[in-house]
Amino acid sequence: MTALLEVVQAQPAGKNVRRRRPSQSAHRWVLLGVVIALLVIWEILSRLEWVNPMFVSRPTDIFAAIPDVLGDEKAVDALTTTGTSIWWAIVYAVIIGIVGGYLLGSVQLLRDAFYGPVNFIIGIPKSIFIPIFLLVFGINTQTAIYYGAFSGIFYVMINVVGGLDLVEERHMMVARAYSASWWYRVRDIVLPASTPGVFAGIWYGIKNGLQGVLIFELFISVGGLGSLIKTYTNRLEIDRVFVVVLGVAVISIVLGEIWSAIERRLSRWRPSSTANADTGA
Amino acid sequence: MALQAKNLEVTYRTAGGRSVPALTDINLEIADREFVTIIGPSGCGKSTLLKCFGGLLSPSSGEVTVNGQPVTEPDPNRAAFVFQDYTLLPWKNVLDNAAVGLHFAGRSKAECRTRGQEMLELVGLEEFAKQYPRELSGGMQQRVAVARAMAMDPGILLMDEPFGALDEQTRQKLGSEMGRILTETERSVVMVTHSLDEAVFWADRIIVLSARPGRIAKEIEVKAPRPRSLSFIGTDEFAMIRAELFRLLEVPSAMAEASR
Repeated sequence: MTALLEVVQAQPAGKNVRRRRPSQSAHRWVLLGVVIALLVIWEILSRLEWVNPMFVSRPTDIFAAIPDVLGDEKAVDALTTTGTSIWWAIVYAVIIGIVGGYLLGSVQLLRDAFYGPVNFIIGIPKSIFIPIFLLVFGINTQTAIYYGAFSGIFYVMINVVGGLDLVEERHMMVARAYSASWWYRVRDIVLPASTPGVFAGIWYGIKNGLQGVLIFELFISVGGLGSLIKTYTNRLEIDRVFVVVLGVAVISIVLGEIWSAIERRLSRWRPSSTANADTGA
Repeated sequence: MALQAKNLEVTYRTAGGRSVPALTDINLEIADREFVTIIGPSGCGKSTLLKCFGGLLSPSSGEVTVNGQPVTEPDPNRAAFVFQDYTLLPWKNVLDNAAVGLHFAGRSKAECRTRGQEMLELVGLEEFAKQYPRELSGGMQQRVAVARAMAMDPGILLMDEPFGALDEQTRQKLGSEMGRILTETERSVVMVTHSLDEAVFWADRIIVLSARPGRIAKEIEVKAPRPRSLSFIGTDEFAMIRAELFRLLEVPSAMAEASR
């Protein structure tokens, strides 16, 4: 009887169907309308030569340049190089960042010693370290990977430390009361409790790893999309520059969407199971 | 399973190095299948005493034994806890929460599933096995916490204000339901409570603790057989014991006199 009375607040499994609100689809159409309107205004201003088309290409020219860029062997090579570099930069940033973050968050001595320096590095532009990376690792694509990883690691670490602070004492007490071993405490309490911070950290690792690789390629001509942008800019092929920028934006959005989907799947237990990381996508 | 506390004392040390006695001179014996409630003013050490019984806290002096064996660390098969704020793990579903103690004990997945399901049936939540705690009401979550403790088949159940976070109506319904379950499963129960009604309604014996440092001020026996229906609340015995508890807890001179 008691169960029946309390059941009112809950629904049996499988009945929790999420319906899309009608306004959501309307919202998307409005957004699309705004984007199209901006492109039209841009096109008109350019045709009226209120903005110089030599420096800011028209949207129609940019769309027309897409097949040219995609047919350009150098562009395809650059995309492959940058894609590979971004992938490895993210892998290094996430793995080292998570391990480092857990060490920093769980060993008080390390936290006291390194939390300040890590925060300091986050607060300064990472590009000032590019010359040091060049000196240590040389001018090659591998250095872009290391620099990309460096750009992401500290954000991952700091968020993982924040995630560890979310572990609640009352849950640890349950583990103690039920005689959980060290391993069970880590696996069943600490890791899941800290996932919000870890997920946010991974997203920042992806975002900053991607940025780091592109910035390095822009500064140092080691190939990749960053270098390609520089080449097209020097040749005043601004429409092609915009195509590459568009491509980078698409990569960023796709990575963000993939990560959001993974995060939603892994966070079903949380009160709001939508992605909590600021994906910016 | 008989639990015994001998000359138990707990003293906390503050950050400034000062010693603060929390419990003193606790001598108590709880018999097999006995239901004991512990009541007392805020901060008198009720929860501290329960933690000592379960091995979550080591006393400063004296000892706790269960069947003659000293309690030095938690053992959920000997004594399992039910905490006030449910403390279910939000990332595990209801079934996994009910079986988490077995999981920590290294039992197989199949055993955890079977035993967890049995315990959910016992507390009437078998339909909600796959849901997450956030999808349940407070009363339902507390029943999962009871299922989690019962899954360990403990000799003693240690309940720390298990219904403290619930509204009055849910408290009464759940209390009545749990009373039946705990009586049927025949085990010793020690329950800390703030509620005079709960203390009388559930108990074979009520332990009244004095203000800090907590010491046993009085033990009161409740003779009505368990499980009790809600109509017990209207009986003379209930009213008289409740009045006695009220007097002890609300009139300082009465408590001082009882403590002597």
